[in-house]
Amino acid sequence: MKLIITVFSFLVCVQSVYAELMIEITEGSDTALPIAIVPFANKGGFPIPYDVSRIVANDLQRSGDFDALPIGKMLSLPEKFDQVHFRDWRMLGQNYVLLGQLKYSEYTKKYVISYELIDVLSQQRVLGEVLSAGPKGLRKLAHKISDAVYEVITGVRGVFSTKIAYITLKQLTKNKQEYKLHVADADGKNDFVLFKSNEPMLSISWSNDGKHLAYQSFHSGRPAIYIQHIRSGDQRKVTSFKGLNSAPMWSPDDSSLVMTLSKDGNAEIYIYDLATNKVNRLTNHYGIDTEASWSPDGKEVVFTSDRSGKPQVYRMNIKEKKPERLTFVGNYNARPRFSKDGESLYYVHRSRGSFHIAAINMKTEEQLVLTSKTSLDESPSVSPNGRMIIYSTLRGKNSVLAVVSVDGGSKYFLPSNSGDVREPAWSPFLN
Amino acid sequence: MNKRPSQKTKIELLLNAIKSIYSTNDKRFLVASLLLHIVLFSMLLVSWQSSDPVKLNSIPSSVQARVISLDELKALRSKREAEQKKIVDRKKALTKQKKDKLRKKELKRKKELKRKKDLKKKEAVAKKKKEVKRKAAEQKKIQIQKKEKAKKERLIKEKKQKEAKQKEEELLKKKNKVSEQIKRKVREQRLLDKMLQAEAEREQDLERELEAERAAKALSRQQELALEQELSETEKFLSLIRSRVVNQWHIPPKSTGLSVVLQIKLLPTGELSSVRIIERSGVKAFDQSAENAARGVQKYPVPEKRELFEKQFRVFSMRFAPS
Repeated sequence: MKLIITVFSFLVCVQSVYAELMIEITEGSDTALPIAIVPFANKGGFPIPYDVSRIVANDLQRSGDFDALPIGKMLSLPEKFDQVHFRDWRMLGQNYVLLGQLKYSEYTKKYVISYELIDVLSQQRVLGEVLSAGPKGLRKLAHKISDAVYEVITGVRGVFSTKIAYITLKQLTKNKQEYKLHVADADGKNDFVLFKSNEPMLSISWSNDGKHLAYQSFHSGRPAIYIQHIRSGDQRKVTSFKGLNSAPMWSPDDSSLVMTLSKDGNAEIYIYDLATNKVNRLTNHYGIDTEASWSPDGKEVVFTSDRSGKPQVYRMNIKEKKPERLTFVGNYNARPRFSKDGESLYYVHRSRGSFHIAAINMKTEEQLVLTSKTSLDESPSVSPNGRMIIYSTLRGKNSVLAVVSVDGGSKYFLPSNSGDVREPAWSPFLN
Repeated sequence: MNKRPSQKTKIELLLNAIKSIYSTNDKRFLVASLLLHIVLFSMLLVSWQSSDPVKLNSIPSSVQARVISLDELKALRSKREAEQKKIVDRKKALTKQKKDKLRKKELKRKKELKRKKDLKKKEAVAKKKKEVKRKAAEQKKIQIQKKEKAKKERLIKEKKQKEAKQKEEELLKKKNKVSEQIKRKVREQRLLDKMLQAEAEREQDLERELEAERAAKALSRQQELALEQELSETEKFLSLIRSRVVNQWHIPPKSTGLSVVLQIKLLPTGELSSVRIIERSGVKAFDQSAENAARGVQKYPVPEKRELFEKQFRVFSMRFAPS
C-alpha cells in the first residue's frame, strides 16, 4: 500500500514539475509611474507665453500617479520618435517619454503643437496629436495634453482641464472684511472673481452642467441662497426664508437643490425644486441636520446631524426619509461628500483634537484617514474622476487649499495670494 | 217484569247478617254491623216505595159487564179500532219520530263526530303547522345561534389572530431593534477593530520595513547561502522574479477585481525574449501596465542549472490581479 502511495505521489510531483509555472502578482510598486516630459522644442524661436511641457509635467506630478523626471537628469532631449534612444531612457528607469514640438503660425496667429507619448518598454508610440491654440489658450491646451496622457496610461479620465471655485477672505480694516468668490483652473491658476461682498459667503456647489454656482451669501443682510451663471455673472436669489438658508447642493440632474432651512423652527434638510419653487422637507428632528449632499444616483442624501449628541454622518433615502447613521468612530464626523462612483464617502473627522479628511468604504465600512499631517482640514470636495479631494486647511496663520489623492498617497497645496482661502468646490468635467 | 227479591228474603238476609255479626265478639264489627243496618234499612225503605205500582199490577182487575146493542158494539168496535189505529198511528208516529230523532241524533252525532274529527284534523294540521313553524323557528334560532356562535368564534379567532399578529409584530420590532442595536454595536466594534488592526498593521509594516532594512544591511553572503539551502531552487527564483516584477508594476487606479495573464519567454541569460498577453482583463491600460511590469525587469533571475531553467523558467506565466 505504501508503495502505491509513494509511486502515485511521485507521478503527481513529476506532473507538477512539468506543468507551466504560474507566478501570482497581487501587489505593485508604491512609487509613482516614472515619466520623462521632454521640453517641447520651440521651432522658429517665437516667444511662448506659457511653458506647455512644464504645465503638463506639473499636472501629472500633482496627480500623485506620476513621477516626472527632472530635466537636468535627461541624457537627451528628443523632439521626435525616431530621435529616442530607448536604452538611455530605460537606463534612467523611465516607462514613458513625452516629447513634442511647438511652432507659431504668423498666418493663423496660433501656436501649433505636435506631441507624442512613447512607451519605452515596448518601444512604441502610444499617443500622438497635433493641436493649435492662441496665446491665451496655451494653458488650456497644455491641460488637454495632460488629460490625454493621464487617460491613455491609467485608463481614467484626467481632471486637469476642470475648474475649482473657492472663497477668499481679506481683512480690509478692523471691522471690515472682503469676501470674494473665485473660479480658477484646477491647478489654481488663471483665476477670476465671480462675486464679492463685505458679508460672508459659504458653501459653493457646482451645477452638473458646469455653468452655474449655488452658494450662501449674507450680502442682502440676511442669509440667502443664490445661483450665479458663471459666464454672464447673472445672479438669482433662490431662497430667503426666515432663519437659516444654507449649504445648497445641486441634485445630479440639476433640477433641485438640497439645502438646510430653519423656516419651520429648527435646522432641517429640504429639497428645493428649481422649476416649481416648492420645498420638500426630508428630516424632522430636534437635533441640527445640515450639510447635505447627494448620492451619485440622486436617490439618497448624506448629511451631518447631532441627533445622537455629537455631529455624525447620516444617510437617508429621499423617498423613505428614514435616517441611518454611517459613522461611529470618533465624536465628530461632518460635511459628507460621496465619491463619483458612490463607493466611498469623504468627510471631516476629528481625531485627538485635530480635524482630518477621512474616507469610509461603503461596502466594507472600512475607514481611512487621508490627511494626518495637517490639523484643521475642512470642506472636502471630490474631483470628477474620483481620484483627488480638494479641501481647505490651516497652514501657518492662514487657511489654504490642499489636494490629496483618495488613497491618501499624495498631497499638495495650491498657491494663493489672497489671505484666507476656504470652501473649495471642484467642478464637474467641463467638456 | 223486574224480578225483585221478596220482602221475606230480605229480612232473612238481614237476620243472617246480624247473626254473623253477633257471633263475633269484636266491638269493631259491632260498629260495622250497626252501620250496615242503617244502610240496609235505608235500602229497604227505598225498595218499599218503588214496589208499590208492582203490587198494584199484580192485583187482578175485575171485569164490569154491561149489555149493549149491536150497533153500539159496532160503533164501539169501530171506535176501538179507530182508537187502536190512532194508537198504532201514534206509535208509528212515535216510532218514526223516535227514528227521526235517532237518525237526527245519529246525524248530529256523526256531524259532531265529523266536526270533532275535522276539528281534530284541523287541530292536528294546525299543530303540525305550528310544529313545523316551531321547528323552523327553532331551526332558524339554531342557525342564528350557530351564525352568532360562528361570528363570535370568528371574531375571537380574528381577535386572537390580530393579537398574535400584533404580538408577532411587537416581537419582530423588538427583535429588529435588538438586532439593529447588535448590528450597530458589531459595526462599531468592527470599525474599531479595523482601525486598531490597520494601526497595528501599519506598525507591523513599519517594523517589517525596518527589519528588512536591517536584515538587508546585515545579510551576508553566508546568510544568502543559508537561505539558498533552505529554499528549493525553484522557490528561490520564483520569489526573486516576483519581487522584481512587483517593483516594476505601477497598478493603474480603479483596478481592483481585474486580472491579466502573461506568458513570459526568457533566454538562459535571464533576458526577456518575449511577452504575450494570454488572458486579457478587458481594460487596455491595466493590461498595458502588466506588460510593462514584465518588460520593466531588466534581467530575470534564473537558475544556473540548465535543466531546471529549461523545465521551469524558459517559458512561464504570470497572473496580475491586485488584491
